[in-house]
Amino acid sequence: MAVDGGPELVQLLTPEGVLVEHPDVALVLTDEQWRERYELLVMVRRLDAEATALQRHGELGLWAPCQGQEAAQVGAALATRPTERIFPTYREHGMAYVRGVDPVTLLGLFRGTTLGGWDPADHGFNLYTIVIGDQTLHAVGYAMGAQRDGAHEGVLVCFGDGASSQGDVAEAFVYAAVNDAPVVFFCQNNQWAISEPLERQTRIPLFKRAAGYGFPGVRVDGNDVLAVEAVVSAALERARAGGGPTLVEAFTYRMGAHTTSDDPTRYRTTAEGEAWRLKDPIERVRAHIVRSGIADAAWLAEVEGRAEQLGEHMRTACRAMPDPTPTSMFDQVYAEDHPVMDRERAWLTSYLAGFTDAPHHAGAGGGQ
Amino acid sequence: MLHEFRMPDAGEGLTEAEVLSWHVAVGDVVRVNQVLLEVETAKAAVELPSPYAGTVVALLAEPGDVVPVGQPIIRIEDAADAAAEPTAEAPAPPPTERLHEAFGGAFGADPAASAPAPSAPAPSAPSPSAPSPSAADPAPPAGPQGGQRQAVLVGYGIREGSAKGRRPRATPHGAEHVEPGPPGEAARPVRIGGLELGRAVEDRLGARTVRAKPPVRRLARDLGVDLEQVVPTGPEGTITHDDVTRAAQAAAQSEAVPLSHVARMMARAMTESAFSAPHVTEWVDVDVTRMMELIRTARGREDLAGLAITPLTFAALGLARAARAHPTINASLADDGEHLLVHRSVHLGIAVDSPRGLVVPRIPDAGELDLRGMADALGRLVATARAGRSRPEDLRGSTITITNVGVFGIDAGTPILNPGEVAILALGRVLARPWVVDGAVVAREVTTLALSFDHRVVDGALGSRVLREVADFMADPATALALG
Repeated sequence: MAVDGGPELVQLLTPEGVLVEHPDVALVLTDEQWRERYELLVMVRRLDAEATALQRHGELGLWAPCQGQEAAQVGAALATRPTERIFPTYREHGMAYVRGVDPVTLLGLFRGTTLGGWDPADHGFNLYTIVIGDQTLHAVGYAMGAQRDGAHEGVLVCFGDGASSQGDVAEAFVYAAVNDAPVVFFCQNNQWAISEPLERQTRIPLFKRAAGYGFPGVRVDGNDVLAVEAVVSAALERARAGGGPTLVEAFTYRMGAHTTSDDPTRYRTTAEGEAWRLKDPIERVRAHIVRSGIADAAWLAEVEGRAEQLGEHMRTACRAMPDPTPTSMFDQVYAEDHPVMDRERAWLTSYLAGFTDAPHHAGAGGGQ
Repeated sequence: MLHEFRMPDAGEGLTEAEVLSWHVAVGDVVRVNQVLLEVETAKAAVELPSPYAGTVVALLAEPGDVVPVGQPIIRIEDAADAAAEPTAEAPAPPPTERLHEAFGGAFGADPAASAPAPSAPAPSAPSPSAPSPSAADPAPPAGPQGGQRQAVLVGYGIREGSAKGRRPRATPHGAEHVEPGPPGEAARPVRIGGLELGRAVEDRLGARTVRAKPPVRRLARDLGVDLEQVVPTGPEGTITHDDVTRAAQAAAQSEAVPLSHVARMMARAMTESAFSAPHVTEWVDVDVTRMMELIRTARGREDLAGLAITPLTFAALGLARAARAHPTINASLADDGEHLLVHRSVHLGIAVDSPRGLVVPRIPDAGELDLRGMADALGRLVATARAGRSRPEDLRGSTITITNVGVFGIDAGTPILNPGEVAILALGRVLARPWVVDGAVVAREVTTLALSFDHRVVDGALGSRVLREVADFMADPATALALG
């Protein structure tokens, strides 16, 4: 079982909350920045816990928990500039939160009331991609576009250890490499592709695959928010400067189930979970900020209070979320009016009007 | 306000879940997301957190109950109404503690220790603020979170009254059953991982876990193998497909022989028929001496050489004629149960023991055939079937059937209807037996006919009439054929 990241693991904050130095990577945060990172981690865990609970309440069809991966997601998202595009999988709730996507908006997709729910341009955050690994190709294409625009910006694309076996990811690596695309491949290696362990995906550490494509790869402690931010910042800086792609393997652990339909106790040992629990990404930050006097108990309680409020906000808003009108599906197909869509919308509208309980279809669809 | 929490679909598209254990009791004050109960679905054992804060008014399911998705499992009286009473003894936990709860203990605390549910074991005397379920029933929850909001879109799936989903096991577990079940119980994963919300530190570290992938678990269930007893040989102590197969073979007192396609079809058809159509069987002994004489005469005729004229030929002719004369016996009950489909032609099915098993090829338009035509059709049909070359279209669409058990040296039986038909005739062997003719016992060649019919469609009068006509035909076929 994979618990130890090995000697090449970049780490700046140990699981015990002690800052350590690394010969190649460094990042110094102000007290305010430390508190900000801690609060982000807590909020992300809380929103993930609430969404998981909402699925158990019967309010969501599905949820893909990110518990355990908060530091990887928060650290990497913080390393980007707000103008730089992030391409997520379906588990990057932490990145969405950093990018200002209301967690309630995420719920719509898992409740089945929206097909995505946010405008990628508003947040620099692409829509969740369910097809495994697809987004790496989208990101490389986007990065090559930015490159041709002379934009000097980087692109961050997420995928997992399971997706590393996908052809799309291999193709994305090839295109990015030969085009020096300004993209950072951010692989959250959470050790399990549903029930398939890492040793069924690769014979070598994933970050070493980059060498075969001709760009650098680095393995970072994915539960160390500081190290992730530092490593991804450096990789993005390299991309902006025309240095080409980098593969960052964030070595982490999915503490929860693959999705709420999965039961990890059927394929993982408790000992493995316990070992990873000792490397908790939030606990180490808390230990550091408490020990160094950056935060006191009162402030920690305030954060927890705000996390509770976030949970309540999600719960209330999720239950009140309107059902979409049947005709709304035509609205998102083309950016502008389209005669075929108009025709099909008109047909569906008249068809729906033929039912005796038709009136509510014409409204905004409150569903109450 | 009174809330009902309905069984959610904890997987995708599940229809039911089994209640394993309750973590709360009537009278307990619960917080939002406090674990209420553990359920097991076809996919996983999961803990269900409370959507509401308040006092538990009623538990609507017992451990072991299999509850359809969407059915209420617990009633909780809103905290807003119940707040005044319980606060003194159960103050709202500080945020830290709730965070520990919600965060699965990653903050280092043990939620089990920090969140004892205050027990108020007085279900027989509900407190004034907790209305009895019956009093609360007529008042459905109102407002934006009301009961109308059972959208198909969310985790309740489509309600289908008594839909039966696949479940991992049949035997219910009690509340505290965490150790492996007794031998012989169907395989069940012992849950020791604490990866569901709200459970951080498990108290089950010592328990041995069966590690096997779902298909292997499925195989074990199908073969009746207890995974607890299987020695694992797979990586990291996992039980493999082969381990289960070996264990099954070691335990097996009988060999499981896979059924051929034909045999499976037979099993399905006979089950369907036997349990949908109420069968009545009547039988009659017939003196067929004259028929046998006619057969012997025919065999000596050169112009009939090559034609297999047998008792079956006459039984087929007799039944086809009777069916033509009484169309109600040549019919099917329509799927709606309200119509009888009376078939215009008699397509006579003949049950044949082929190398692949029992098949029932048909003779189309058998009611139109004369002796020569019937003998010819039967001969070809049986030869084709025994060679295993019947075409699928030949094996469908019969309207009434004969089974010839006489060829096996048997007198009679109670045949089961070919599905979709309402009558089937069994022809027994022809044997010389003592028979009374004109007051004297003489040796005559006698056979037994048995007719089973679907009593939903055919009453005893019609069934008897048809059987009698077949018997009369076979008693003197030459006369019947000559005179019509």
